[in-house]
Order: sequence, then structure tokens, then C-alpha cells
Amino acid sequence: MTELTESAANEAEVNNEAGGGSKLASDYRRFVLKRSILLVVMMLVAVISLLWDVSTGPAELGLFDVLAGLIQPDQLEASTRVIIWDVRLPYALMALVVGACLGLAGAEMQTVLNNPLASPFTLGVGAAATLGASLVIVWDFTWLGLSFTYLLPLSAFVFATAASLLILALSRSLGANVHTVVLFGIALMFGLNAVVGLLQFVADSSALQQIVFWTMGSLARASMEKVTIVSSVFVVCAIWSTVHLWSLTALRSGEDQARSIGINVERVRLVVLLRVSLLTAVALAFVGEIGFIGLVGPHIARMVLGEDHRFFLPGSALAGAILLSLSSIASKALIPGVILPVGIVTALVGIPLFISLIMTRGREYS
Amino acid sequence: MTLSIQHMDVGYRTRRVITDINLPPIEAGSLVAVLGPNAVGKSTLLKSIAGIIKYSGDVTFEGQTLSSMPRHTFIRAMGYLPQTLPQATTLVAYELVFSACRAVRTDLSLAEIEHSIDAVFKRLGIESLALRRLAEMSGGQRQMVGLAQVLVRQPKLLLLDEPTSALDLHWQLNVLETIREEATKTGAIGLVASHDLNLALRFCDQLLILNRDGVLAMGAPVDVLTPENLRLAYGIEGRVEQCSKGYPIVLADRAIAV
Repeated sequence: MTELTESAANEAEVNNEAGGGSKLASDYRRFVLKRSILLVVMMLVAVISLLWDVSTGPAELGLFDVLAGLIQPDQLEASTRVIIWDVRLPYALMALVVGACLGLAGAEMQTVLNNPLASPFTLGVGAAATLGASLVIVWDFTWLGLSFTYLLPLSAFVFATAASLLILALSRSLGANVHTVVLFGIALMFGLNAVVGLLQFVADSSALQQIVFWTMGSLARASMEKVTIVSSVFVVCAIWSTVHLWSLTALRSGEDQARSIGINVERVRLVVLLRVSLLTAVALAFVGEIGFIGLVGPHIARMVLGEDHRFFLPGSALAGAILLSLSSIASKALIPGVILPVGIVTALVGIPLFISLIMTRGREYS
Repeated sequence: MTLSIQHMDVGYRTRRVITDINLPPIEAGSLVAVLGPNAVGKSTLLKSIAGIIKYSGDVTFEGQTLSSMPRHTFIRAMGYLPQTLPQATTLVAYELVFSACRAVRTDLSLAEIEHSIDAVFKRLGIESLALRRLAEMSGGQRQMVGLAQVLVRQPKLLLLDEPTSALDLHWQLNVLETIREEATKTGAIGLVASHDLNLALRFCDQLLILNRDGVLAMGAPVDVLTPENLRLAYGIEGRVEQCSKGYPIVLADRAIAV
């Protein structure tokens, strides 16, 4: 009898524990669910922005014409089909995927360098990619056996990686102080721009035009083939990043903390920066330099979703995609009949945001 | 489960901090306070055992040399709490602890992790912090979250570097009581670097006192915390007396020239 009561009491205790155990865990699940919903909302916003982007342009096509055209392309007039399928859709999709690449790259970079002002643009990785691209534009490297379409991103990648490694070496030797690294990035950007200027000086007129196009950043030469290349790289990098999700989240509690639980911080940092270089190079290879998306995207994602990287990384990619997509709409709508290079729009919007980030976040972290 | 340290040299590439550390074996379930003045190598010793900086010599745990342990066994055994607090970010406490488990303890199931987090948060009395952002917490609260992160993984070797440095009296006692209980219950070994001699006296089984010449003394608290050792380690004139409840307490009278 006593035994029975005892075992019943034990059972009650176990149940109690389990009940209590599910309390914190279920609170946390609710918390996670809220974030999942926010992520879905961001996806919807991205889709809406895409449709809006496709229906914006000099040719008067309403949203419904565009929707009908996307669903039943064979019912369209030939000219309208060309406008929707060969001009506007690649343009709008390119904005989304390039924005997503830059958003993801910026988020990962900010985490591994523990620096809220880090982004491919602010640290000169974008400028390095420009130099790589310019070299291929000015001199013919097709004797290497690769076509120009692949050679350009490849060269951009090599230079972007070199810049990332330089930043890594610097933050290791000087300590990753928020402002030191950003100042170094700015110096690097000026230096690289000077070299690109030199290349422009020696380039012939058609190469010069291409380089100028690069430095302005424009979606105008988007095609489905290019969209496919950029999306494939994005998908590969996004899947690859899932390997580091937990380590990156743990890294947010601090380098010492991460190291203390047995995470090989140096290795994670190196691998992630390689991925950042790849994303940046491929994203910029076809559209040229587009700044600030990789800086601002992660900040929006952090505000909305926090820093659990299961949400932060996709959220940042989505925020980047939405930002560039909206910029693309603005680039067509600001001056009727004129399509501005989108890089100019992102710079105009990004610079005030960047300055406000330096003033507020930079101070917090230093 | 024994921790044994023989002929251990710790330090950095350019500067040896402590040479030839030889300690009597530390038995399962015991708590050792690592004491000594600033810059004497307390943190360096803990970091070395935790595998964060290189050392030479023989350190064995459960009969296995630490340096030759398979990486995952090593990570599972170690529970190192660095002196730096978790940084103030938008991460919430639960995420920090959860992600640490997910990142390195792939052997634990989700239910096990949830159960362990729940038990530790409850034991430390920080359930109300679980969904708060670290950026909104005080230093002391972040230190508690950092400790929770270590305890949740149920390590067999606790290496705690000044776990109470940012805490008020209530939490200091709470933390030491928890660590004491954990060691006694699970047989884990704890090395706790501290500047608080009275907490060390009260909760630890042994004291390891370091000074500039290396290991000054190691043994039961009342045996090694003598006025002579206080003078040699800290350069103070001090006494160890009994309070009205019978606990030994250290009274520091004055600093003397060293």
C-alpha cells in the first residue's frame, strides 16, 4: 500500500516536472511561431513587391494585365509578351535575387565580424568585386577557356574573396573594433576605386561604358539566364548556411562565449566570409555595384525577427530582396519615362540610413 | 572520475604565466576554488584546461589525457564559463542557451534539451528572464544566463571564471549553492576562480592558492587559508575567524608592502 502511494507520488512529481518542463518550452514555441508568421508576412510582401515591380514601367500595363499575362502568356500580343516576359520579369526577379544575396551576405558578415556596420559594401568587398569585373572587361581573358558570362563573376569572386580575407586578417591583428574595421573598409574602397579609375583611363570606349555601368549598378541588362545563375548560387549558399545556423546564433552571445562551448570560431568565420564573397560577387556580377542593401537589410531583419539565425538569415535575405525590389520600383517611378540606375536609388536612400546607424548602433557596440 | 594535473605549464607564446603545476588528484564531486591576486594566472589556468589556449604537461580526466580525447567527448565533458559576460544583443536568454546546446550537443534530443533548460532556469530562479533580450538585461542577469548556458549542457568538468563577479549577495549565494549541489549530485568536478575568499571558504572543498611563484598551496580551506598564505598571496595582513554561526570568515586588516 505504502509502495503504491509512493509510486503514485513519484508519478505525480514526474508529471509535475513534465508539466513545468513544457511551460518554458511552450512559451518559447509560441515565441518561435510568432516569428515564423512574421517571416511568412515578409514573403508575402516580397511577392507583392515583385508583382508591383512587374506592373511598373513606361508601357501602360495595369496590374491585372500583368497578372493575366503571367498566368496565360499565350493569350498575349507578341509585343506585350516581350515586355512582360523578356524585359520586366527578368528585371524584377533580378532585383529580388540580388537583394536576397546581399541581405544574406550582410547578415552573415555582421555576425562573424561582430560588427553592426559590416556589409559587403561598407567593407570594400563590393569595390573589390568591381575591380575584378573591370579587369575582365578591359582585358580579354577568354583564352582561359571560359565564356565572358562566367569569367566576369569568377574574377569578381576572386577579388571579393581577397578583400574579405584582408578584412579578416586585419580584424584578427587589430582586434575587431567596430570603427577600425569600417574605416579600413572605407580606405580599401577608395584605394580600389582609384585602381578602377586607372583601368577606366586605359580602357577603350566600349569597355569604359561597361565599367561605368558596373559602378552605377543597374538592373537593365537582366535576363532569365542571369537570374538563373544568381538564384542558383543563392540557393546553394542559403542551404550551405544552414550548417552554421546554430553556431552563428551562439556566436551572437560573444566570441569568448562561443569559443567556450567548443565552437571553432576562426573556422566558422573563414568559411562564412568565403560564402559572403561568393554571394557578393555573383550578386554584383550582372548588375554592378549596389550599395547599402547588405547593410540595411540585416538591421531590418534584426528589428523584426531578432537574431536567432534560423529566422535572422532568411529574414535578412527577404528584407534585402524587398528593399531592392522597392528601389527598382522607385527607379522606374521617380521620373516618369526614365529608368534610373538602381544603384543610385539605393545610395540615395541608404546614405541617411547608414549615417543614422553609425550614430546610434556604432556607439552601442564600441 | 578524477582530474589530475602534472607538470603543467600555462601561458602564452611569448610569456609563461605559471610553470610546473603539480596538483594532488581532484576527486569526483569536489569543488576547488582557484584563488590568488590579479594577473597571477587563474583565468589562464582555466582557459588552458578548457582547451582554449595551449599548454604543456599532463592533464588527465577520467583516466584520459585531455589533449588526446576525441573532440566531441572533450566538448561534452567541458563546461567553461568565461569571465566576459554574454554580450548585450537582441538574442533572448532561451535562444542563447538553446543554440549553444544545438550547436555542440547534437547527441541530445529536443525533449532532453527542453527539459534540461527548464530545470536549470528553475533552479537558478531566472525563468522570468527566459524570453527577455540580453540587451535589456543588467550585467548580473547576463552572467546568470551565461551560467545557465553552462549548466544546461550538464558538463562533468565545470570551469567557472569568476561566476559571481557581477552579482549581488542574493545571487552570489544562489549561484554557489547551485554549483555545490550540482557537484554533489552529479559528481562533477568544479574549478571556480574567485576573489571572494568567504564564499570560497564556505562552499568549496579545497582551495588552490596561486601567487607569482606558481602554486602557493592547495588543500582544505581551513588548512591553507592561513595569515601567512594571505600575506604571501595577496600582500595583506589578515585573519581567519569563526562567525557566530560557526563558519570561518576571512578578515583583511590592511595591505602591506610586498
